[in-house]
Amino acid sequence: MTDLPQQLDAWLEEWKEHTLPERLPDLDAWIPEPSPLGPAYWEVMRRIWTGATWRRHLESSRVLRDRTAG
Amino acid sequence: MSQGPPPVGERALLDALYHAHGRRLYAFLWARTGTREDALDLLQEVYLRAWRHIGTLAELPEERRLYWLFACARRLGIDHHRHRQVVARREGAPPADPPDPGDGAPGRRLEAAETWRVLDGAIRALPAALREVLALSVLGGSTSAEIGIALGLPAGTVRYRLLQARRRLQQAIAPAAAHPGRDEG
Repeated sequence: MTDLPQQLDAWLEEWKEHTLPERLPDLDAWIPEPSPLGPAYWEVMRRIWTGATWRRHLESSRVLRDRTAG
Repeated sequence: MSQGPPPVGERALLDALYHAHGRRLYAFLWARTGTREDALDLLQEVYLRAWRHIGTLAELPEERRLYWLFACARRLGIDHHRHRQVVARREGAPPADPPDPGDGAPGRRLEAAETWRVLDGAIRALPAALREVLALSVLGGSTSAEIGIALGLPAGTVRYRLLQARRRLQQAIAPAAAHPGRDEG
């Protein structure tokens, strides 16, 4: 028979697996490269966009840059 | 005014801060927000602010950097909570989101559904001070000493809060734990 503290540990382990993301997003997805429009550009955009929109925009900016460079 | 890329050393410092503390900051922010998406959004904002102040952080000793990051996360968590209260009042909706059960394997999700409901509900019902140390310990994998540094508390206080949190959770799960066949049928 499993005692309560052990049961709690097992349940907390289960809870952790559900609650933690498999891995945290890559930091590059969050930190913008310098904008030709200056630092104020990102400051304004960050205030307008939600986190998800921000991440999508940074990703598409990098794809565009890589295509242009390629 | 031009904005060049941060010096290599500064970006390396930001990476190091992310790898060292990202998970425990996520844990803290989950305890504050209750949802994975909101916690990730605020975690992102913490590191954007750290990036803007990387020069200041570079001059701080390691313990002060950790405290700086958590102070930033705490402020963002407070702002987020206030914002949600305003939205909830405006829309007449409850301020808390329903639990997010994540993307576990289908078989396991069914099996763990009751466990999840009971334990997650009990964790969310904990006072914030207890929920934060529990999340930092379980999700963040932090020791009592590390939690103490992050939250500006003596390690003994952290251990006491962890004990209190575990006692409350044990009381909450006791009925479900006594009926192991709860997920059958």
